[in-house]
Amino acid sequence: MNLNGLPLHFFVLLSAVLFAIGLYGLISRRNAIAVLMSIEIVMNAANLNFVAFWRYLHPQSLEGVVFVLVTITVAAAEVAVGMAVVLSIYRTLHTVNVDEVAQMRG
Amino acid sequence: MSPLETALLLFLTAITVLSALMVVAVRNLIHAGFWLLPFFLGVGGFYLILSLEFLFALQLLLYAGAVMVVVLFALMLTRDVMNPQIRQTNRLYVAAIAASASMMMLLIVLIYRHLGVLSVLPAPVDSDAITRRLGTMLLNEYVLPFELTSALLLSAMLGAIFLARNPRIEMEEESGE
Repeated sequence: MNLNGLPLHFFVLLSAVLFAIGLYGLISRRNAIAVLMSIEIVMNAANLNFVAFWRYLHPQSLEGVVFVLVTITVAAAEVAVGMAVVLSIYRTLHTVNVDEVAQMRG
Repeated sequence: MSPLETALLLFLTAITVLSALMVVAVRNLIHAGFWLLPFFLGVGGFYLILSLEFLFALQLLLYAGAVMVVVLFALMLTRDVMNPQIRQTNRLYVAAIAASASMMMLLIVLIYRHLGVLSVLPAPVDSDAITRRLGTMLLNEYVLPFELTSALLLSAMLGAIFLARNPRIEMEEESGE
């Protein structure tokens, strides 16, 4: 696709908006799985930023894309471990709401 | 950019932002999980626009495939404790709106203050060559992060299995024999 006339601002602003949406979900959701879904939104916003800056500033070197590859892999690992933790909490406490799991509160 | 391309871009933006909003705002969490799909596809569409076909395929496989399936599985396994009728937000609801709105405002102000000089027209890139060079780079300069990620994936897999198994059922099986 021809990107002429499309400023870098577009991608960076879009990524900022997505980050804010994910942040809202991260703070306001009660269900731990919904919190993990919001983290996915935040991570996707960061990936979009990496790719946009790579494409506009350094299209000759591929460092930004390598970063995104590693981030996607880490996100997949994070989701697997996160879901296992959520299922473990569900089995022992019979809830997945993060405001009800307060056993470690000092 | 032609008018068709502008329309496509606006459509993609609208889908991505709207589905992200639905993921964080919808009360029924199963629906929220399904709203992740258009969100991931929309972000993948932006990768496609930025001529990264390989990353688009990866986004499709890993996010729209694996991550969404795991999320939906976890939602369905814990379904009996989530009632779609009750509210899904905690007491920090208003604070969350204020925090994310002020964060967005801050980011937008910072972007407009400091990014002005950086927006240059991008040079055209050959996406086939990108994929080929990415493979070469991952096995030459970036072979250490590449191998570390595989070690991370292995340990995450083992950890997930260890955390998700049910010790009580296993003990009952052992005593039953």
